[in-house]
Amino acid sequence: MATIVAPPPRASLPRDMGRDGGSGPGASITHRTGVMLGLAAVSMMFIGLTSAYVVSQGLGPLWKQVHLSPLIGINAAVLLASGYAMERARRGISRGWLIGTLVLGVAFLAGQVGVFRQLADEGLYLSTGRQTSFYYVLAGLHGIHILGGVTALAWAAVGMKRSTLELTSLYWHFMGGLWLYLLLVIFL
Amino acid sequence: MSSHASTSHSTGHAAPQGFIRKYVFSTDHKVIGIQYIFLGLFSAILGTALSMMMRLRLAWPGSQFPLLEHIFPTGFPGGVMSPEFYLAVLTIHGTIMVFFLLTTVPLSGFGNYILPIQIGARDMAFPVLNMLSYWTTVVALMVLMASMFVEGGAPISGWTAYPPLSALGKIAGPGLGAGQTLWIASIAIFCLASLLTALNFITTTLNMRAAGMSLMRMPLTVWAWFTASTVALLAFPVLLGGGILLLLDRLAGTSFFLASGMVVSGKVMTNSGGSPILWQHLFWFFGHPEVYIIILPGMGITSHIISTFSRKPIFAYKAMVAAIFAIGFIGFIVWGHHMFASGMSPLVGMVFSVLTLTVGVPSAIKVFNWLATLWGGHIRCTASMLYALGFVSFFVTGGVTGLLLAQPAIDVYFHDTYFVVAHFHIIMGLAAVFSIFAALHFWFPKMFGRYMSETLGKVHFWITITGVYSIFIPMHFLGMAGAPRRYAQFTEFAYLSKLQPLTIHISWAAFVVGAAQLILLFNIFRSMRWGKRAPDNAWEATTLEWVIPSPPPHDNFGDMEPVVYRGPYEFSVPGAKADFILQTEQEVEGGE
Amino acid sequence: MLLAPDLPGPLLKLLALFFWALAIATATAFIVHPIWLPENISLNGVDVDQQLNLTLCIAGAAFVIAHMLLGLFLWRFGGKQAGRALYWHESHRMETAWTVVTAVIFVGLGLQGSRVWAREYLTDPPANAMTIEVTGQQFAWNFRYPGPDGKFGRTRPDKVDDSEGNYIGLDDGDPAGTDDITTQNVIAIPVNRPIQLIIRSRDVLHSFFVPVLRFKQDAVPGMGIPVHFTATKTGEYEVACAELCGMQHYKMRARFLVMTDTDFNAWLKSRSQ
Repeated sequence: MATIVAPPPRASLPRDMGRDGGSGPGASITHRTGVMLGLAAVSMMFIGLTSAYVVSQGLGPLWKQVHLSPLIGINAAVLLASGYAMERARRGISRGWLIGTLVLGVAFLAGQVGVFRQLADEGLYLSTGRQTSFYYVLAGLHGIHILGGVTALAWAAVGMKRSTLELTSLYWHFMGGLWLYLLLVIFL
Repeated sequence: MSSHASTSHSTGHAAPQGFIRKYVFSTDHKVIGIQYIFLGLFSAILGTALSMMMRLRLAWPGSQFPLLEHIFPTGFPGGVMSPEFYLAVLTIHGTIMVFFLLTTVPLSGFGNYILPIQIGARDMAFPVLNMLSYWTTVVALMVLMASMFVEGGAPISGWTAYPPLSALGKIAGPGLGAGQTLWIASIAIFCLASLLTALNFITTTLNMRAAGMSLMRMPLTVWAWFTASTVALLAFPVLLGGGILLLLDRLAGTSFFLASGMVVSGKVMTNSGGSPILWQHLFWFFGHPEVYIIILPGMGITSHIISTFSRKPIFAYKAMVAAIFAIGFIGFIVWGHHMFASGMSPLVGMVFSVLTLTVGVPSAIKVFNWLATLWGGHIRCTASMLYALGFVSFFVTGGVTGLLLAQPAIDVYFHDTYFVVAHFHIIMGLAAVFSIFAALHFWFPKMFGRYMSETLGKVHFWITITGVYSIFIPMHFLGMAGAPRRYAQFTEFAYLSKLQPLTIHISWAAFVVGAAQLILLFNIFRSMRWGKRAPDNAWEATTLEWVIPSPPPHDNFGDMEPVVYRGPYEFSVPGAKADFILQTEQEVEGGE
Repeated sequence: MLLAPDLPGPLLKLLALFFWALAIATATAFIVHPIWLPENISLNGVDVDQQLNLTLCIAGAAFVIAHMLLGLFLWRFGGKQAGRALYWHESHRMETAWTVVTAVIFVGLGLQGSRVWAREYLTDPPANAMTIEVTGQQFAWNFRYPGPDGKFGRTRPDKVDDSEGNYIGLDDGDPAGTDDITTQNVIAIPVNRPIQLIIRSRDVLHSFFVPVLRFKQDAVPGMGIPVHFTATKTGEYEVACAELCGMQHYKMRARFLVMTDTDFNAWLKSRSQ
């Protein structure tokens, strides 16, 4: 009773094997799954918020517009450029490109703060109208995730491990795509 | 894949030394599981005590309780419980029970302890994250507790926290100032913890299974935890997003949920253009799946235990898996049935109604399969089995009233009456609580190496099930008569005053049930020390947790590598040596 | 082999008896029903009650049958038995049968219920319907009749003044509002005449619940939600608030008077002075 069966000869193992994680080669699969699930959760939060945005659009007259300013465009370009740098860093396992990505990420964040300041100068504060409220919330939450990504980039730049690079790039590209999606929802 | 299927992992898992690393900030999924269970136990004691206080006020609204005045001087001015204190107690009772007991114990508690073992893993995929999730949950509970001790006390807006009431601040009533803010913060923190746990469970199930543990050989418990985690991963972020918006409405003057032209306590509000109904959509988009996050693990546990103690394979394993998935999926598109009276478009209500009745089909299939599993069984009468059968009973009783509530034409009468209170206490509260009782008695011998007392378990079962039905069957009639929920007393209305004798009866039954829970508490703590010693395979069961010692070693499987050769419920196989075959046994006949 | 501490037999039979008793007692309670819905006085309520009774019968049958079977199986298979349990875990025919039967019953019920709902909520009120505005506030119900001109005057939040009895913020600058009649915590309607309510709230959520009319409707700030009904019996009834609105939610009550035409006109006249 209660015995543990010793590993049998390989040939006798059932064909429909389970998957084996733990250490070794399995670990990278596990981490990849974890990151992808995390991104699924992040997506759900933004899907919830953007749905709320779309629904709110149909309500009430006080719908002040945040305008698509040049700075928002520049920021988007910076983020796209950082995606390119990330891809070069990942393929070439290049620290130089990785640091480039990091710098562009920080520049994007600075630019986003700049947009907030521009809005405030125009008198569009967090509570001015529901559209400005949504802009601040969506851009702010996205910014927090970018900040997390910048931290991950710094971590990846220290170790320069292929597996870390792969995961960081997955996350970084997702955040780039997410921002484009948010821009589409807000300005279309 | 098979190339590294049988490499040893034992090197990576040295048992930690020292009390703190071993029992407090442990990364061992078994320790964390037990921590969650004890967190739930604490929450249950608190939540039950609060419900007893509510029953006290409902039955005898004007009476004085000088003793309670000593404990809660502001809540019982002159010994009489104030209506706002009643609402605060109601809010904390609901919040603590839904989040910190029903979500935490069946999924995070038992799932943490059992899931990795049942799939043959040595720990969760992310042990450190697992520890962080637990301690984040503790922080969430502490923040919730703190809301009771700020000026104005705990919030009075119920566990659903509908704005504008929850968004306006203390101008709208006591407890809606700092208390409400802390409440939202607590829920937001809880969301984070839960979705990290869910992420961990899903990754573990997908990637950490032992050799031979194919998906269709997983116990139904694992399927249920896996599906509930998937639902949690997709539902909690939406509540988190909604919570952030609600917090901003309170703190930053935004108008996500606040309409134009409100006049509160004589003051004209400056908010403009928001919609209170938007919160209800966000909340119930999470809130309905939340019900399934709570009940799916209970279904898995019940299937597992009924099969084990009927000594029969679970009937229609594949249909059970499909039903779990169908419930999890359809659960995401029925949230509008909580909002038939909210002002939502009646046409949309109709769609939600038909979808909601559809979710009844896989639920009914599960009941049929449980019944079919009992048929022809050699049913063993353990306390655990009794609780599992109690689950089936509650699932049916609470399920059939859903047929009424799912139809908007009928629901606009029953909505927010005691009929709904009875419905969800039976199907979400008691069914889930009985699955906790069942799981506790079933896996206690694995966790502590000792059985819980069967006699005490059975006494507790009989008092609880009788008492609980004496509370909740009559409660349906309160709803029939049209008694609205969240009333601090029923005496202000002529049509409700006549119901007072029934209310008093319900309170007495509640006190009996509340007192009976002391038997369970005593049983738990007594059995940890003095329970009858249990062998490794305490119930002659088949799944992987019964292959290893009780309690299991730090890395679960020691030097051995579990290899799975068969499905999870091989009971009473014709020609086999015993009436159960472990999943690790290779030969059908003769054994080894 | 060890054996778990499982006493077979008597307790399982006791549980079987318990489930049977539960089924019979509950069914009896619902059939005899000493407590039930208050009488229905609404035209639409007849359909609602019919659908409710039909659904209760189906739900009750499912409840009783499930508990009877549960008891039966425990009784039959709970005692000591020789040999092994039945190794039986599949029957595609049975599974298909019960899936199809439940799906047909549940979805059929849903469609039937939707028809009742559509008749009530997806139709316009008759042309001769009388419109009354309902405005919830913490913790009272305000009602407004449009007066002889048939039009409601404008309201403005900044005109709200509880001390002067202007609970809904009637704007005295609008001539349409001069003949509006407002009441608090009492509403009267004529019997057998279609009534349309426009339900509003001036602060938090409330819910306008008249049990004898068989419906409730949330009052949402920023919205005016229409509902219509016809009351068929005179008498005095009660309006309750059914959505948590604050500490005095439990006392948010209004009288609901259904009168003959003459009585109603006299009542309205007395209110307009």
